[in-house]
Amino acid sequence: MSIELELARVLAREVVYRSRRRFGKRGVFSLVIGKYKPSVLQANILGAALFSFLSLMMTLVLIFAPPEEIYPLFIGIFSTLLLFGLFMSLLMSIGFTSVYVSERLADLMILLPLDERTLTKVYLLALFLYWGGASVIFLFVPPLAILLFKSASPILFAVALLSSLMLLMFSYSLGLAIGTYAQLVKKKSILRALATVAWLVVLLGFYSAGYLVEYLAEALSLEYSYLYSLIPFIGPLFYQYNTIGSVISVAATIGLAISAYLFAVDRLGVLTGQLPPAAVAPKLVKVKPKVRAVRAAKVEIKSSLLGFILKDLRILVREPRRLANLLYFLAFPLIMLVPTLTRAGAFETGFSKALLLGMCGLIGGAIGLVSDVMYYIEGEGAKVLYYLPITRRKLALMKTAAVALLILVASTLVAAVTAVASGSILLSALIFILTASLALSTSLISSSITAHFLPEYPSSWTEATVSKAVQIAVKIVLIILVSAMSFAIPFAILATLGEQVLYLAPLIESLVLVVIALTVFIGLAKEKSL
Amino acid sequence: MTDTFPILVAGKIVYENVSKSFDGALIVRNVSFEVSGGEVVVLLGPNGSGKSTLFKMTVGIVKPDRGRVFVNGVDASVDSLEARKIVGFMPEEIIIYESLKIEEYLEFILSIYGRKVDENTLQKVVDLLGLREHLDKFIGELSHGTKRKVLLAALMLREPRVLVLDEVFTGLDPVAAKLVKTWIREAADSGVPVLVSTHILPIAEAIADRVLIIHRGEIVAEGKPGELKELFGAKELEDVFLKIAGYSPEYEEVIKALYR
Repeated sequence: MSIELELARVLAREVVYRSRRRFGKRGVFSLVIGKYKPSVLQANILGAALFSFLSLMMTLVLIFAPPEEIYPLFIGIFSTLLLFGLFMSLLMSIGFTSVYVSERLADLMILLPLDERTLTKVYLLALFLYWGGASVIFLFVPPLAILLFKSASPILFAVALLSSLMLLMFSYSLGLAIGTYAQLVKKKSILRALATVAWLVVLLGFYSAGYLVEYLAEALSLEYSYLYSLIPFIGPLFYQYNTIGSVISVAATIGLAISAYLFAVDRLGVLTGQLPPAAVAPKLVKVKPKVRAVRAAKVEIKSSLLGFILKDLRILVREPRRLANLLYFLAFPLIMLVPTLTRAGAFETGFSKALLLGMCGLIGGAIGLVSDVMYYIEGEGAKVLYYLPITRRKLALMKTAAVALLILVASTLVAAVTAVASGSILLSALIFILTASLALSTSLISSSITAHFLPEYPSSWTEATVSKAVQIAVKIVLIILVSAMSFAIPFAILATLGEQVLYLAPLIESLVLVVIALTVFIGLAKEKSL
Repeated sequence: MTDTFPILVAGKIVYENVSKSFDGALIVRNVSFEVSGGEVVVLLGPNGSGKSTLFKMTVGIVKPDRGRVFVNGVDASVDSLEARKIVGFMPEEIIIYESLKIEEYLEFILSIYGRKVDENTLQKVVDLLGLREHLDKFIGELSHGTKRKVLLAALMLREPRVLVLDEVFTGLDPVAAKLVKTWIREAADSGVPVLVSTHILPIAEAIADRVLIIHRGEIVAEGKPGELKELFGAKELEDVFLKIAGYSPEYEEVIKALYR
């Protein structure tokens, strides 16, 4: 093994270790990325299998298609795969680089007696071979293989191959360049906001991949093929509809890929050669010498609860990935609810009202499960708490209180949508009570269980701190409990007492779950220090 | 400033026949000593000798297998919550929220302890520790020494009734070290028991009313710096320490040979 390969392996292992220490396991992401594998094969095989399978499922239709339909089918499918490949490789590249930068691993690398060119090579090999980057190639293998098998146009094969290679070069380079700004994202609030939006897009893309693929496959119909031929990376595929446009887009594709690569190498050079990573600043930004005005220090002492909540919210808004995660899970149930609320006849019958109450209860309960994020944002800082006079009970309460504000905003939105859709203030008020109380209750239950299982000795808290089995079990049990209660109570009232007293259901549900939450809170979140 | 927490017994730290093992290895062996109010006791010992383990017992983070540790009369392993209210603890490693700014961190810590600070004291502490120019930075951007100064600022503003400071001088510049020495002396003079560890022996000699030397989990020497030097026939405290730690002149030959 060459020295570059060996160093790349060591670097990838270090990035994986630091990443897991910081963020814990990454759920489904860890199946493909972010897990240390000691060989190139092991690092890529799972991703390769997964991407090949996904791609094969989409491209199988080409095998059975008549020759004249292969071209239009292929360009639709391959364009979708190119976009998916762009998304995955950006994700991998940004993830790897941001850990490399924020953990200051460049500080270790520059101590080695290696020139900058070798360091860049080591970095790229680590990202591509040992972080799982090479596995994305397998998205494009099945369609290209089918083209060969079907003896389709060699031009189509050539442009597809060119597009996929250029796209990989572009997206890995772009991801790498973006990742180098990780330190700046921490410092600049505007960059944090952008990063949060970017993460929201990533989450939306990941959790709604099925819908997106379907949408893209439809959107890439041949109606606008003339225009598509001008889009870099995708455009070359549309050469039969607009040859000149495709030639332009081939040039643009190659130009973009090379520019991105040069930009990435330059950014890596900044990290490994010219500046210490702590001082990394984008070259495009003019750095003006700051004259800092001497100002008085300001410290406002609050109650311990308010002080703790403020600390949590400050940390949360400085963690774009976790903030996006929280916002996504607060907003997603609302998005699911709006079609139900706004459909015709949503409030006409007792049955539809009971169904609506059931859905709102379930959504409230699901929103409350996000409180765990408030534990994970502590990270290494959690060790501070072990030296403070804080009990597990108080901690559970403070973490619930920290998400309470967000829960109240989400519940208000649900109630507002209900008020607009139904025109009933009473109904919207009851739905607010139902959503907010169920969300706060499941939040308190979840928080109490997490506080109970926190380690006894000072440790950092990440998604991996409490066992995955416990986390999943808690979520499943709570969802089953809330679902059963949310639907059983309104329908039982409807069946036995009639529609007139259906409005009692939210109050009963809230009362029952609040009692359960308080029981769990008192039983599990003990009055003992961490 | 007013005291937030009641002093149950006149300031005192008491280790009573304390033993602790980790994974079968005995780290602390039957250690007993006291630090009275107004006294600065410096615990010296090689790396891994059990100093940090003993220190962490004062806030109940490590619980002894045998024996007890009291702070102001509170058994720290039984009522660690109360112990944490009483003790101002500085861990050896920098444990801090790196994504907060200095004022935000101080606000958090002081809010948890319900400790009001007057404006004048706050500005003085910030100035003395040289933190003012860093107020707009995140703590994660600060140097190791400056991070320790932030921890010190929080402790100074809290004014705890017992101080336990593990390697508090590590990474501090001479000005800050001098300030901390003065602060420690002042705290002791106001009746606070102070337990400190350091590897910087001139500082130990300068601040200690009493020195304890721990080796392999046992207290092997105890006394005022002058008494220890006399006992071991040594000019400096460093010589006492080296003798106890088993330093041999032969080591110097080995080290010198590395560059030959």
